[in-house]
Amino acid sequence: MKQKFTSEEVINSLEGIQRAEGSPFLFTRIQARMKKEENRPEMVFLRFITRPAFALTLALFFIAINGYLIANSVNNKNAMEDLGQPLAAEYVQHDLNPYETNELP
Amino acid sequence: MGEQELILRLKAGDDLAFKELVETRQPLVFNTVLGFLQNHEDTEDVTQDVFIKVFESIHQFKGESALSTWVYRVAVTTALEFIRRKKRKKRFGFLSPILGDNNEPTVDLADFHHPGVTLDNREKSTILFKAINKLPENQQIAFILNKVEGLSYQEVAEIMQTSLSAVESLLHRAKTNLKEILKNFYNLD
Repeated sequence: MKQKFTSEEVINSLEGIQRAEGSPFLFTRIQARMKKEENRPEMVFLRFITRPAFALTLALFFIAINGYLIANSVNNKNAMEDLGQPLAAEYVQHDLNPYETNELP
Repeated sequence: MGEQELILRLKAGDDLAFKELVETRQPLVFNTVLGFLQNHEDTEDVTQDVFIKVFESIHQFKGESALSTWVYRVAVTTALEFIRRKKRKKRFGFLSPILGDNNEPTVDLADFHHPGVTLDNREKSTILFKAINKLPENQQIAFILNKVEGLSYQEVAEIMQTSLSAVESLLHRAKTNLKEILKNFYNLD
């Protein structure tokens, strides 16, 4: 391309520039866009999960599950102990001498 | 409505205050963003983004500067983010044809003519805008705010949160770099 202007002329070409203006309906468009954003499924879901009632219900649910699991584990421990005592007693009756089994006939 | 009242009402989520903000600050946001993006359709979208950001983050505005200064900052940041996103898309453009994900052109097809430039300066300003795109980001911000938006050095310094001498230096370097870019421009194109 052939050079038509000096760099000074090009740099000074913005002298007296007027402001460009956008659409007169900008506010309406912004409002429509914000409404659209609000109704997006992700936003509806986000609004739902950040509600205090939902957070409280979730917390109560986890506390209840924890309580149930703790109570269950205590019961299981007792049941294991009940099962273990007779078994242990039975093993004690066979008081094996470890050397006996390895003896040659 | 005074600026303090406007800010208070915006913080309270008042729609009328938001309408006033959009109507009074639209020209400064649109013109600034247009200086960076050099494309009318993208500028319309980014201008909307800027106002939505301003409305949603108004509680972060501490009143240490004028509201317009803060709006300028949001406009510059949003425009630069948009350019970075577009450049990333262009870099990976070989993965898709000319049209991007949302059928938006990923490559600017036409020369940019700023509507506020006088007719006899039109061709020269088109060349200048191409050269501005090649400047480092900080020089680009200072140059656009000063030359396209017509702000004083002091106002540019407040928006860029820097000193007056730093802005002077940025503009001086921008002009030097532009001369260099323009010298090579006819060979580059």
